[in-house]
Amino acid sequence: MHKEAAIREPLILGHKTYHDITEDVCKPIEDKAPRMWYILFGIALIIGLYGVGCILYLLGTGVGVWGLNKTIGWAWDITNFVWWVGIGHAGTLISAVLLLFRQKWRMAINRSAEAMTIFAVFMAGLFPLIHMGRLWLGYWVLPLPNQFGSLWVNFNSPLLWDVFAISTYLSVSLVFWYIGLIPDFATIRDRAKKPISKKMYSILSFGWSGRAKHWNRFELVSLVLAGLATPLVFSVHSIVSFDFATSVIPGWHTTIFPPYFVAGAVFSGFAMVQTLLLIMRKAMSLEAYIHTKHVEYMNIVIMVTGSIVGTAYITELFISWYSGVEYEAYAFVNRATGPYWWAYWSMMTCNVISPQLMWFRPLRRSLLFTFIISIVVNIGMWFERYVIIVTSLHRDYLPSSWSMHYPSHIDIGVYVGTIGLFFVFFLLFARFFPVLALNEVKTILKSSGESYKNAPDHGHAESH
Amino acid sequence: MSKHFQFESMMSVSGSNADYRGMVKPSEEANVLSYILKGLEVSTNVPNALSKEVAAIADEAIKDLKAHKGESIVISGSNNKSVQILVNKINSVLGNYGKTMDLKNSVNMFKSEDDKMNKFVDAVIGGKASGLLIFMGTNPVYTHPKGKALGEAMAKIKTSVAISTHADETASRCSYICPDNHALESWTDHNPKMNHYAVGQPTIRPLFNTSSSLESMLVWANKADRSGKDSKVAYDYIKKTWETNGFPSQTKYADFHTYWNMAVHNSCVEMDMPVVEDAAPMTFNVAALSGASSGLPKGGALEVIMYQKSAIGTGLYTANPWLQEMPDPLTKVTWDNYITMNPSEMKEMGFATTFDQENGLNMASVKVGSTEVTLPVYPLPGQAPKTVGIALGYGRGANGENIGKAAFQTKEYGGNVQLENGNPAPIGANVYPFVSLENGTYSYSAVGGLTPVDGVYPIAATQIHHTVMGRHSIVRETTLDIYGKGEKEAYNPTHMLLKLDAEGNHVPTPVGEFDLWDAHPVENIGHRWGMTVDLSSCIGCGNCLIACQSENNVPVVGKDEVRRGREMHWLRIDRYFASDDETAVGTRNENFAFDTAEVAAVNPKVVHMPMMCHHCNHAPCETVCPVAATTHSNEGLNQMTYNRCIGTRYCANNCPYKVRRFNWFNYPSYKKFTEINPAQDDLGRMVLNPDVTVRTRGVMEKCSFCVQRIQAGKLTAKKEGRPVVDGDFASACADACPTNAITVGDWNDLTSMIRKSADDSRSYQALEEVGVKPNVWFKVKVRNEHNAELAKIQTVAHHGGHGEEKETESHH
Amino acid sequence: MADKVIYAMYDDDDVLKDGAKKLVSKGVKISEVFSPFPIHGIDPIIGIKNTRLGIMAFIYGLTGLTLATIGMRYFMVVDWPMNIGGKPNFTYLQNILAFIPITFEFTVLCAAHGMAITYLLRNKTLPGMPAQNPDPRTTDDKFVMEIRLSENSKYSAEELEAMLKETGMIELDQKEIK
Repeated sequence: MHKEAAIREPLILGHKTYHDITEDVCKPIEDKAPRMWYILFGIALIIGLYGVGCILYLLGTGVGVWGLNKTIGWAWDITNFVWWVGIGHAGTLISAVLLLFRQKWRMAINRSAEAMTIFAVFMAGLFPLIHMGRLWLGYWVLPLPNQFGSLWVNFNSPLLWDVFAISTYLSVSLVFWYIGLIPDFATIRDRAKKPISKKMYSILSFGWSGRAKHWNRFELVSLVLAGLATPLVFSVHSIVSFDFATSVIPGWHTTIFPPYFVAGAVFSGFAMVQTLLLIMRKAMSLEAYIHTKHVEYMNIVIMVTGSIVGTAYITELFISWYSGVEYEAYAFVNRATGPYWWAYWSMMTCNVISPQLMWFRPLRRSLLFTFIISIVVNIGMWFERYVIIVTSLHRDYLPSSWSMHYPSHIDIGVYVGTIGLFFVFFLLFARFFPVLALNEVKTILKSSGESYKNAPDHGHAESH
Repeated sequence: MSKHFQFESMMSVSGSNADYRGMVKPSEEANVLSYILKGLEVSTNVPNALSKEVAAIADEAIKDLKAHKGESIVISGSNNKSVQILVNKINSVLGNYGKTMDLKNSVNMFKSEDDKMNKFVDAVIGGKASGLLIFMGTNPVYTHPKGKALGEAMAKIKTSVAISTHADETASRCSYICPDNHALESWTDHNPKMNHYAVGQPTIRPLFNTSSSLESMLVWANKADRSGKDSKVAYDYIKKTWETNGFPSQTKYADFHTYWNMAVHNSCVEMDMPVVEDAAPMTFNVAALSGASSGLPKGGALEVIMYQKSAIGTGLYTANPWLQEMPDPLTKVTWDNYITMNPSEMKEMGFATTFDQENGLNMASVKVGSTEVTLPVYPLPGQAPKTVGIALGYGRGANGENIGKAAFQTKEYGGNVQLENGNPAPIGANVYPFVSLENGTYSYSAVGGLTPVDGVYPIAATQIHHTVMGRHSIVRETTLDIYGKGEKEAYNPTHMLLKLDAEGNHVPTPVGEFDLWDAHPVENIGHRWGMTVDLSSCIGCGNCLIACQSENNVPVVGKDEVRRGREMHWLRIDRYFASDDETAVGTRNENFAFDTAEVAAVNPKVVHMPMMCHHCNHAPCETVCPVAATTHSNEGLNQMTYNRCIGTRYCANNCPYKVRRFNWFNYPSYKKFTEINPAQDDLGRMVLNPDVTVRTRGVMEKCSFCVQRIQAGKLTAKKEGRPVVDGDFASACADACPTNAITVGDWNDLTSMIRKSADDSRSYQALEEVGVKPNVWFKVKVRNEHNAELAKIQTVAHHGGHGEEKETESHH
Repeated sequence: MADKVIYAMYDDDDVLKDGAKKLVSKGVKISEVFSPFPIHGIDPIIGIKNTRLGIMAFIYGLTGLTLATIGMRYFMVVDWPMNIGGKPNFTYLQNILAFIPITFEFTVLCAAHGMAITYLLRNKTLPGMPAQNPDPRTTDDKFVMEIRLSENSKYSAEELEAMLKETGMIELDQKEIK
């Protein structure tokens, strides 16, 4: 029996038993949804449908309905893409990297974090699709044999690397998530009374029985998928950063982007996890499982990655001067003092100052402070991508093409719509799927549950 | 090399290309001439007070004129008789007549009899005109200053006939309109210069029920009968004229048939100069000089100049969407006219001097006489203080006349903006009423007043930034003195980087020798198409832009889209003003700072730089296309495969020259463009070049070096069984350029013009240090001026002062 | 074939583990353990060999790597090499830098999905398959040991039951299988 140090804070608060854990997680699924769920779902659905409407208008009329122009070919579309993909990386990091590092605190949060990842990557994936001038020919990015002589794709292109990277990332995350869900679906299936419920969860659980050999395979598959997903976290966002780093545009053409983007992704992703989980734990009464310790650990990650991002900002500024390249120097002078200075300084304050506050223990253990900062961080990270993309493009080499970007209603509508759609998905997830990894949390009950840690005699369970 | 001094009020195309430019008000033009005369030791009673800067330039002019007597020309565009008397005196003193100026060989264009026209208009307005008026190819209700009154008075005329292509402002008020053939549907002949005769040949059978004006005149003179669309009346008459007059006065051709075919083929025939028996030399009428002080243009607190834009001219082409969308060479504004003012004055008056797609220009109203127009105020560096300029040719169709679909304002989602009475709103404002008759000629400058008006006006400009930010890698300029010294590294320094040699020493090496990888072996085999653009020759006229648009079916997008930065021109002309932080455009001086470098000087130097796809050999756009829609041909062209493009736009983002254009909408069908894109109109569609694809929405396009012409040139050579020679291929832009600034051809052909041009000491590549290895070279602009500061900077080898790269001492 | 199966239910995983140890030491063959989560340490006790899915993942990964390498070499170098940005594509190695991201991603893709599909197939857990756990509470908080009489000829059903009672089980169930 794995003994854990007594001074470590317990991860499961209160006197929970295995059955309690099952009950706590399954009851919200089995009971009627609270009124608030319907209200939130309705709002999210309306916003999401508005976004879908904007997208249909965009596809029917042309990319011209956005605010792009001949100088600035990407603005909100790719900003949103990178923003959503970045958010998605936290879930995979929690699921995969923390598993490899045997961090028990991941058990309570990884299911919803991974769900967040998948829905975020859904939203992210929308943008490369709809930003295309001719989406109906989008399948041409796949190297399929054809009658154009077999015209293949251009493997030199970072956009093509993105196609493979994002689809790999999405499918592997989905598989990883789902494989973990199967035993939990079985739990719900075995408790289900209503016939539709029982049928639905039967199908979803693939006939899982909990055999030892199956658990043996399950653990190995989880480990291997974790081992595969970990490099994915680093490679996918590095590949996304290559969309910019491999270009020639000052402000884009810089080798610091891969680590900077990966750190930024984890940074914003953890912030989003904080935002979602702080609400979810209250709404679904899971305070015993997701509490200050988890929040604190996540804040530490936010602090570390935020510091990396801050260091990257300073490095970029330094190099822009030290390199002696006038275009690079101007790019950064323009960011700080040009027409988009407000976006740059929003980015700096939100991303550099806020995570540094996490050095203070009382702040990083405060749930309210965390909630506010997590939103601030995500706003800052959106501005970071906007600054990188738009300020580099709007004033690059030839001053004759210098231009300004103004978003159109469709730009804003699509972005807000994806936020709505994301919440539609997440609310559906919270309603019908187990938001905690039941099987995993149960494995840490004895080592990290409060009642077990404080009991004088470990080993055999108390009779209850 | 010639030396060009320009004294003007507006920054004009000529002024922007001048070596020395002085800003004067129209009323001060005579002062300049008088000052020069004084310098040439001729005193007049015309005042000659000038500002310090203008006097300095005039002094330089006097020095050069004196040193080059009989080798200069002095001309003025003013209609004022006194001004022209002063001009004539200067030319006479310099001995130009008979040497550089030939008064006997006149240019017959723009000849007018202003006072007779004015008398006619007054007669009609006063009810004293005859009962029959015939207007042929003219539109005085619009272009005459008293046009409005004329139009109203025409109702009283018994019979008025207009021979015109449109039911324009004048024709719509006539009792009869005789629809004239379009110029391209007519046989015509011309005498543009005294010994030049030209035949105009139609290129298409009349499309509509029209007939040529010549035929109409002959029919009314009882000399011919109407013969319908295939009428040969005009043709026969012209041919007869040439048989009677042209053919006998030459000896080269023995039979008329051959002579006539030659005349039609060449379209212009130069006759021998008529021998003038009276050989009395022309002398200057000294008495006229003393009278010059009267009748000079009047001055005032604010002087308004009515000028013609290169594209729209007098207003004849208001309905031509290509010309409306052609960015004005100096202001880069399309689809509008405006009040030009010097930015330094605008700042004092609180007008906005920067603008973009959402932040428009402030408005003002200008009043001359009893007419007032309200227009946006545009910051034009080089505008003389206390003057403003407004372009003629706008405000047409004010009463909804049918002058053409594209001549009216369009709305954001298509359709015309409507006035209260339901008529479509004209574009801009008509300032012909500001013109006045002074001493028998029309004056195109006047004294007026300006009052700011509330409101912000959205302006559609293709370029919103004024300067090149001292980026020497983009624009290079030098002076004749420096160039004359013959040291290329002074005026056209090679961009050097450091390389490690075999011993481990750092050796400065030209950046062109650096390459991350081995080049494709085909680059020195076969053709390699290239282009040079000589910045010294380019005057920024815009011919190349329109030629490209017509050759390559480039869509017209209208004002709203141009405002949003989405004009589709493949070839654009960048116009850069020098800032006070630059000694010459593109060359920093020691007080260079990023913020002040954005502001143009009050009287700046200007460079016009045509920009098109550079067909880079290491094209950054090609690498990033996910579907390989843009690749490199083995003849050096960057190919754009329209039907493969899925429109991710990464290629456009990655282009350092920003020459790629994206089809944001379906221009041939979306309702926003119905009024202005010719491709949406059955008649307009005939303008499309069948050799070039019309692109659909979602597809990227860009300059192709006129690949259809390259292929045609190669095919011609193939059919003739010979290798391709220099001249078999010319791109549309190179063809159309009036100054031969653009040279294209096969760079691999060592004897070709392009190869020699590219190897010239003045040739450089824009942004060479980015390493994209373009196939386009620019040539350093040489100004014939003295620039001591520039001479200090542009010295060989020691400190190039250009800032971007680390230079070490090179040991030659 | 006819068989009698004994299901012993426990409510604590450590108790089941100790019990299993005892039984195995007495020579009992435990055919299966059903639990709501993996019981660490149970595999060697009841004789479950480690899965070889890891090896399969590696092989699938190698397949992905090979396919990606051969594929991109075919597409970009052999079949239709194009001059894209002047990048040399005469040999695979010259252009290898551009191919690395996709090679890596494809390797991961094949490894992950290959392994996942194999896992589901080997477990016979596929959409539509029926549940096979003997008691619905085994996915909640109860642990069940399955002992087949056919595998334990040494002992009778009553002996087994007695042994099981000693180990602290809370419920017993017997089933006949035809």
